[in-house]
Amino acid sequence: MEFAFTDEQLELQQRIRAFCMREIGSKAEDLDVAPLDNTVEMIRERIRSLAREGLLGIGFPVEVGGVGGDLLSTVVLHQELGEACAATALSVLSSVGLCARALYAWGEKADRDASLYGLLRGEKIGACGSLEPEASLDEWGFMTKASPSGSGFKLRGGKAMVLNASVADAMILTASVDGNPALFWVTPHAEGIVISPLQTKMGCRGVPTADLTLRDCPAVRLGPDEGIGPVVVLRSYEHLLFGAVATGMINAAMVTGGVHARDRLAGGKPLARHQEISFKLAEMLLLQDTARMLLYRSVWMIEEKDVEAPVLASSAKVFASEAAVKAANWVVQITGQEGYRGGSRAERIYRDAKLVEILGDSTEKHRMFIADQVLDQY
Amino acid sequence: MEFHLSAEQKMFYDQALRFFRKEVAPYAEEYDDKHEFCWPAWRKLGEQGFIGLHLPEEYGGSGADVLTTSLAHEAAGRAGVDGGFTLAWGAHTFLCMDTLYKWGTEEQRKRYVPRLATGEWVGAMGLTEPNAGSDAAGLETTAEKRGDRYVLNGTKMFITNGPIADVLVIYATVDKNLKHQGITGFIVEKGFPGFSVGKELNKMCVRSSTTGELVFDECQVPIENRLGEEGAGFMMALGTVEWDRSALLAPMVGASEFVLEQCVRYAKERRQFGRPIASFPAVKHMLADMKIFAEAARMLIYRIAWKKDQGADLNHLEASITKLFVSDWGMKAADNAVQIHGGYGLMHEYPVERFFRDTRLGPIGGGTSEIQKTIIARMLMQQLP
Repeated sequence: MEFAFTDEQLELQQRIRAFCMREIGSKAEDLDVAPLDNTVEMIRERIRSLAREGLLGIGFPVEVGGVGGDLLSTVVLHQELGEACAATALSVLSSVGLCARALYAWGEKADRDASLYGLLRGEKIGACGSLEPEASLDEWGFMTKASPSGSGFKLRGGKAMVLNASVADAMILTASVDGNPALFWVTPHAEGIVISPLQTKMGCRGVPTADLTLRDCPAVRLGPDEGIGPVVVLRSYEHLLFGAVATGMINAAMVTGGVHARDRLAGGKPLARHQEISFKLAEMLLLQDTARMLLYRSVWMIEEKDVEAPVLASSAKVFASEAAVKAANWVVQITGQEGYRGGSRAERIYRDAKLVEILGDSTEKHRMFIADQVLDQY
Repeated sequence: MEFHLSAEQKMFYDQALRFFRKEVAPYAEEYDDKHEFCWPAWRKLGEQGFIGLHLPEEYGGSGADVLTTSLAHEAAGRAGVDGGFTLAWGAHTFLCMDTLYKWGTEEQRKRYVPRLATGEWVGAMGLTEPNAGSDAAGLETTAEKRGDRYVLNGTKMFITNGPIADVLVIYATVDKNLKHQGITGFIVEKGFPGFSVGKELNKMCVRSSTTGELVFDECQVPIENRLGEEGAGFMMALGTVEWDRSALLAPMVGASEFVLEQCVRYAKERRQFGRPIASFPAVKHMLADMKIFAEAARMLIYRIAWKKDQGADLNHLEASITKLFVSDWGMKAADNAVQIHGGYGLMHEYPVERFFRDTRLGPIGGGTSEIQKTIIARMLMQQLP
């Protein structure tokens, strides 16, 4: 058993944190208030800057364009990004955390390498679409169907609120083949794929999102069609990374609330010395710490290929995303009228946080999945 | 980072689980009902060496690490042993025996620890008073030095194992003006003149652990029974905290799993509207929440145990977070367990009813949730940028 980070991991975390605060966090508000059309270039710039700093390719070997590091480092990157700027975090999650991860894990070496290299160097942006307009609670019931066509497949159906869809150079989509879940690689510029105009959103405004309509869009299937399928594996990554972003959000809320409570007076003493405020801050720290522990346990289980890894990843996602929403609610409450005003950090966190309860599979769906596993276990 | 249990730890856990299932759990309902300490189970624990696990062999222990010790307590919870028994065992082991071992002189250790480690004697610890709970530094029991002895006067309240204890670690002040720096530890044996146990208390929960009021009326304590230096008592009491937040909470991890299993079995069998209630999303959501709680609690508790095994200083922040989480979120898990069982969940013969009651101790005993939040908030403010 080992609960501590290695010196190397600690050093990397500090490097990520410093960069994210300086370069990403300081510009989070700009991205949030930017006109929709400008967000596309702004996101590209942020992703390029992460690549220049040697942070984007964390978790991938150098041979394919990465900078090395393990899954824990990837989680740390997403946590720190989530704290600095949720929109940038989700864009990175979709491009590197999922799209590049899928290409790396299951792409045929010959055709994957150019795309993968570009994604990890920030020259290209990837997307990963799973959510569907009529989301089914049936775990694998994708409305999007894939059928064989020539040497590959064709996809029919649609995907909703795909992160990065409007800027993507490469795309990973889920679809069902004869009722079984499968993963596909498509080119966003291919015929048969229609990308909707950019969507406005309550929060995470800076990450460009769009719906997809798929009309016999050509696709390459990724991964084997037997054993534990790539969809299952990629979903554990997805849940884990959404959990990481959410955990970063909890920290953002806690620090914003804490600093406010320390610096402001009420009744002649700092807000932080009123139990009404300090106990909320304490609960936020509990949520952050507990979410982190669930995340780290999931990382380890995924790396160990433990059969319970998907359950732990779902647990971490549910816990962290709901905790983020709670913490976001409290930070607005603590900062009061100031926090409610447009442009305040608290207000942005509040809007941003809600998305992580919905994307990356809703908390309802996760609970059904966890319960199914528990029902099987006993 | 990695969270493997060693092969020895796993094997030990399995052995412990078998032992608790066979030898201890079957008593749970009866002794909870009778509101009595379960002596038959206690004797077996002593025979099997479970009581002094973490102490060196020369004092009657087995030299186990903290994590292994925690696993024994977790296994008890997993087996369905009631919270009263695990509390009595924990208070004896960590609040009394370990403090004596850690702070006692060689003479004190030799006299008390081996007898406690085998379970021949039962130990207790007295800190809380009728007017001093969360504000422990405000305790009013006095210790006055008179020649070769101290004379203790005052009352202790809600003392686990008090009514059955042979030896007690009692905290009293040698000078109230010194506040926490006046608090001093004393070893009191049950026959000491002037010491008596007041009424045994009738509790809602953890009923098989006996709880009492202790009365010190000119109680005579030989000077060689002072534990550590004058004024060192508050430190000693604080020193129990890391045990309090790991091994003493560990039964809750096991019990959460035990109760989750009970709920799963019930939900699969119980049919309403022509289908098992396990097929309803509302029930499944409750099961999922119980699972999430159990996994999170496990990580927090193992972390404290692991740190203590590394010889790290007590991290008060992590200790308080663990205590707060296991207590407050445990209540929600217990509530779900009863809810899934419906009317049967309210019935005495179902273990979830007892679990629900026993869990209620958490947010109160060993430092209330409010105190944990106070500590966490204070430490958070220190680490802000």
